[in-house]
Amino acid sequence: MSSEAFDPNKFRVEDLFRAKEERRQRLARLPFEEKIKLVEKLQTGVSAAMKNEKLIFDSFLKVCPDFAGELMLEWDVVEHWYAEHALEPPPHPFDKRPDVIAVTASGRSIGVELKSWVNREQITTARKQERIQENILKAIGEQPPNETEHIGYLWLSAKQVRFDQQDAASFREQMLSLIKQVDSTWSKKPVWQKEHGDHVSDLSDFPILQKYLKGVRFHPASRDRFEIRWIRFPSPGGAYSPNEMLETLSGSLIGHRSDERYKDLKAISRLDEVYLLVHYDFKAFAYNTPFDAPNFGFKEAAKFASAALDGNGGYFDRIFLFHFLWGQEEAHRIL
Amino acid sequence: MEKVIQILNQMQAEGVVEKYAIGGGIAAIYYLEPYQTDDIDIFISPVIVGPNGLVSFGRIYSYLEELGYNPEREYIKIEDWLVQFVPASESVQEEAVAQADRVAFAGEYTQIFSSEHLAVELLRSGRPKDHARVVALLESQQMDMQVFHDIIRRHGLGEKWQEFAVRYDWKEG
Repeated sequence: MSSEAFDPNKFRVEDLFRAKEERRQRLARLPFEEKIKLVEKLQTGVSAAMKNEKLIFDSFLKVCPDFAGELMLEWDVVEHWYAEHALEPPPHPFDKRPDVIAVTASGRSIGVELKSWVNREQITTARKQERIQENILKAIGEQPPNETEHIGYLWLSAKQVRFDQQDAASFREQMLSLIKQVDSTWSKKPVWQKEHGDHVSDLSDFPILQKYLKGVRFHPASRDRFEIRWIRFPSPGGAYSPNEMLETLSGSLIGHRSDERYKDLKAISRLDEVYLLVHYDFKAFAYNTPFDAPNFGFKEAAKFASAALDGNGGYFDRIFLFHFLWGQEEAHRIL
Repeated sequence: MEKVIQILNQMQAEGVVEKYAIGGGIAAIYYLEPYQTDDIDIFISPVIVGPNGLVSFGRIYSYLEELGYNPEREYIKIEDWLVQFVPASESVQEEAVAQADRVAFAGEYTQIFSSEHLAVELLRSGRPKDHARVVALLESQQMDMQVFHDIIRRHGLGEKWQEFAVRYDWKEG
């Protein structure tokens, strides 16, 4: 089957099986060295991103097997599709688009572009914070056992300052001195602080701590006591509004549907339809503020997204919103 | 894969291994269509047994480590390939190494299991993906079926073959 002969609109299921068998035979007849070159080409094409795309689409298919209105006969990521079907790929950059190509049971060819629902600004800030926290914990090094009398654990609050490793030894020394000082004066603190903890923000006696920390919260041992990793940062959280993530979603949907890169994709890549699959994944879960709130879940987010699109998918024929977290997989067609 | 074969031949020339042959997925690719894989199974014969009575790869591993190739789980990574050394401890594996085909590759020669030995070894191994390759080898009509059945008989794998033939409804024409 040559690329010129491939017309998905006239393709039947039997043709597909026959073509697959012919392709197998043709590939099997290649000289060994050429076969190994193909294998090596496939190896280099297996990027982490592509593995992730496979996982996402495979998981999406499990919850939405008839997303194209019928079952799929076969699919693969675009990096594999042309090579494994012995088809001439379309000219660059269309040889790398869309992320997934599938053929339905009736022979329709569907392209699926995957996009992540993430707030990149939030991720950048969170990752920066994570790096600062990592450097501070590294400076503290192996934590001594919690031998204090009154302190259960500590929460550090870091400034947005790059940590200079030359300060590491002094940082550790001053941290342990601060802990000792707070522990020894704990019994003199007001009852409320003894029961609920004390936030020390005046670190002027500890200049290196002051350089990197906004403050330290000491939690009383009477409530919770940690023996290991007791000097730590609080888990990210706090007040948030789901609106921020919903605005990110509607903004990105409107951006994707009019993205000129997809304008000629259907024609050039000989696809019958092109879909957009927006997925909420671990990265968004880990670094972004939640999209949900009481009485507002993924289904409501999908309704919101559908309303934002208002029936206009731009260059995409169908658009789906997919919750790609293990055990919470859920997909909704939003166009 | 060129580098892997150069190193294997060098190991053989320097006596680190006496005989080797490529089996598994790469041998299947030699006879069938290519597919995505990054590991190479190298069968070694004779099996080297250490003082504790266990199969020893110490000499192979230290030789490769001197060349800068380090173990990754049960493999040694050579360039982009994960090479697994497999002791030819089953009689069919030992015979497959001894009677392997000499194949030219990128200016070197290497040894690859014959299609008949490969099919019997895959039959013996018996994982679903191995069976799928046995079917593909049978369908490719590249095997001398008399040789194939002789190997099955000599290594006592008749029962496995019967089970396979029933399961995959294989009838010889």
